[in-house]
Amino acid sequence: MAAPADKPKLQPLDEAFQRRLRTLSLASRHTSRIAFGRGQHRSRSLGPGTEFADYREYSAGDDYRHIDWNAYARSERLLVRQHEQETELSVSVLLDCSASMGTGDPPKLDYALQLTAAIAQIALQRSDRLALVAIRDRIVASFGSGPGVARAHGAFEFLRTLEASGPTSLATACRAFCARTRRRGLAVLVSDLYDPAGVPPAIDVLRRARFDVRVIRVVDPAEHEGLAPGEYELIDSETERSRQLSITPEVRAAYRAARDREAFALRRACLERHVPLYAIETNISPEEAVLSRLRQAGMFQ
Amino acid sequence: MSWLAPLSLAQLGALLAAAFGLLAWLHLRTPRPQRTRVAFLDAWDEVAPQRAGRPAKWALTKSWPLLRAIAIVTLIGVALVDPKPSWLASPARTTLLVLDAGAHMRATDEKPSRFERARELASGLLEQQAAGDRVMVAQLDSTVTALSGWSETRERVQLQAAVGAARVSHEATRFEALSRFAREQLRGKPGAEVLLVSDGAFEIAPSELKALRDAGVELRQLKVGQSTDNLAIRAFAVRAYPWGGERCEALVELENTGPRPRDVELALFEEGRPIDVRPFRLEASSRVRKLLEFGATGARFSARISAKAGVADAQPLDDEAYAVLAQAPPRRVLLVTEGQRYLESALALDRRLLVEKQAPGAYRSAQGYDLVIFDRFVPSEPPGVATLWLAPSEAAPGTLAPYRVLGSIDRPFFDEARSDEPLLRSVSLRDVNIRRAQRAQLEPNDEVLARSKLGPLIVKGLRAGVPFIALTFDVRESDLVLRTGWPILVSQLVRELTAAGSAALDVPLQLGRLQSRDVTASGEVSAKLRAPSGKTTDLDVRGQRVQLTPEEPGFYELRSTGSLQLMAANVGSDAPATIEPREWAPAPAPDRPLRRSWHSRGAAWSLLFGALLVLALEVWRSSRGWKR
Repeated sequence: MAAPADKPKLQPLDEAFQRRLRTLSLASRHTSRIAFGRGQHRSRSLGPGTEFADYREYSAGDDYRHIDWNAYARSERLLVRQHEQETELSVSVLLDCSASMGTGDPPKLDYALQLTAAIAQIALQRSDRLALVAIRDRIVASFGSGPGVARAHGAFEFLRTLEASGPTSLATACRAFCARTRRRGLAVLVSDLYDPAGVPPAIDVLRRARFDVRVIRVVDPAEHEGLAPGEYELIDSETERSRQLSITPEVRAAYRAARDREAFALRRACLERHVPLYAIETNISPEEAVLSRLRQAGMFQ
Repeated sequence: MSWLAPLSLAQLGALLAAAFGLLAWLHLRTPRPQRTRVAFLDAWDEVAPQRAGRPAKWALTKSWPLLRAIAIVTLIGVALVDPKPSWLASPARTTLLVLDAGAHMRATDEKPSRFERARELASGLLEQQAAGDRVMVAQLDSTVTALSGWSETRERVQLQAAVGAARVSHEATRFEALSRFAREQLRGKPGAEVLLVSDGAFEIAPSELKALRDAGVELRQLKVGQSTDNLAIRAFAVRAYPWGGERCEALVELENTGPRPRDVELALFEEGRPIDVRPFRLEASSRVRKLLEFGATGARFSARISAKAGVADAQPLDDEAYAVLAQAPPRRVLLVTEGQRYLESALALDRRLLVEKQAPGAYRSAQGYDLVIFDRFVPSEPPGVATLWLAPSEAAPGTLAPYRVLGSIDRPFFDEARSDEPLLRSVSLRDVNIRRAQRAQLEPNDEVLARSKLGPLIVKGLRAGVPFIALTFDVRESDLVLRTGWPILVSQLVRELTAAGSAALDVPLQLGRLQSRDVTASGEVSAKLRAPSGKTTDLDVRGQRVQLTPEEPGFYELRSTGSLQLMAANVGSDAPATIEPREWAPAPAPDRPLRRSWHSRGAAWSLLFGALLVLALEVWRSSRGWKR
């Protein structure tokens, strides 16, 4: 496993990828209760909007401007056009920037930044409100943006400043995030989910705060396979704790089995909480991950 | 197993230093445990829990390859030293290991020979010698030659090389030499013993064995050889007949050392061509001397004895002998006489004699002559050369006559004549009539060859270191000169005194002995010696002599400017023909030092086994890793 890079690299999204991202929007069962601004997400409530929804009989007090005169000409009834109210979505991406994200080849944080950038691009071009929050055992940095793709540059610049270091405490960081965020919406947790306290508490914090939670797990396949047999002095990337270990084929097999068990348990915990979990390996391109894997899994519409 | 020969401490130190240096180098080159950052170390803790004391165990594990290599090298190194644990050790001994290299060890009843068999046995003894013992290897013939210094048995390679360097000689074995050498070397040493690997075919005086015992030296003999059958030519010489011509006579002495009578054939060869074959029967343990006459023109003669078919001869070395027919140089003889027809005629028969005659009054000196014959004359000064006196005149006391004349004996007869005397061979003195003889008063060392009851008639002796022979009677007053034996007697007396007799018999070289030979040409600084095998050697000439040590039987040619000297080389005359194996001392005790090699090397084998076990475990461990 490669040592963490000092500065994660965020590659700019190429034009073709950006064009394809324009066709996507984040799927969420949550939209803002109040139709702020000019969001492009349909709302269950009818109101101002551009998308025709239905007719109803005119009643006193209705705005004359909404009477469909053509319909009156055909049916001699005063019918008022109703439109779906278009709302904006509040998208928060909680990006794990702990030291464990700096491991892997490529470093998981680099890969996570690519995914986050794609999500930010999708959100901003859909006029969603975007919040990028870098977390470790706390919130270490955040970026907030109103709708509009023009703000993507700022989001990317923010992402470029992030680096992997420090310990992980997802629950603590999520608790801090919920405490400072009034607007509920979609919360996307991007992490390798290596948390000594476990991942479910963090999910529960977000759910209790009524966020529509998505979890993207960045997986380094080599990390999942385990180290080749040999003599190692293993150093924990977050705590700097070290230990010597002779990795034999048996130990390696046990490690793989443990990783499988852990992944299964995590998937089960997410299912029980109705939280989608997307495991993305870093050996596939971010484009394929976004356009194919996440889209097919229902992350995007 | 010489490769497993114990090492000295110095050798071990050097070996271990090199091995440890190599190990250290390899260890430094061995990849260290990889320092690897992992995302979540707890994940590894889950599958490989870290137990208490783990760091120490890890440190041990980390050093395991080095520890293992050190253990293997140490085990092998200590094994090579051949340690002797106290429960296996026995008191150290000081052993003089002696190979008998006498000529009798060339016997072939052991294959390929007794000596090679002795070498094998000696080599085996060294292999089985206990650790801590000190050993010297030597070979014995007429002298003892040390082939190694005192060495620890762990220096087995050097000792084995010393055994390999032993060479069988052509000499007789002299146990006295070994006895003296052993007493000098072993006196006061712990566990002193002589291990003699020999057929014992020599004589040992009881006093020598006692001297060894008194010096605290234990003699052990490992016997080789089985057969006693040997047919030998003990002596062989060829000479021309005194009166010239092409007639020669050969003296051959044959011996049968076996317990049974043997029918043999003696073949004579001239220049490699057979000229005569004669059958003989040799009784058991007998020696026979034969004189053979034959006609020959060559100079190289050889004789070969062979048994009739079906009878083995275990010692081929002495089956063949070589002789050269010497060409005696002319001898100058001064005859001082008033006239002696019979004597002059007898001298004239020997063509090698250059006779000059002088009247007694004309005699001044005999200088320049090989022999002077005084016929009824005594000079006033000693002649200084060999002298034949014929009835020295009755001079007054104090003259130079060989004896005092006390009176005369009338009509003496040859009542006694020594039959074994070569000077009287072929001469019959019976019934020789003598008118009168001198009554001679001899000196104590004089030798009477023939005498009458009243006094000596033919006398031989030395005066002032010069040999003389005297006839105490005037041959003119006897009928001896009319007998056929007269010229023979004169010839034999003259040849004896002129050393022509010995010159006519070539003295052969003795194998294995350092000998000198004259080089006739003066001013020579080197001469070439050509051996029977054709090998040529340059010899330094000093004082017109060369020194040489013949190593192979046959004919040698010594060539210097303008001269060629032919020489025969045979087994030394002092080498006994007997090859009967004898046991002079008990064999080495079965438990000491002929112990089983496994026991003597038990610790070494155990350590080697331990090293192999460690290696096998490591290979097994590695192979498990490779499979997965």
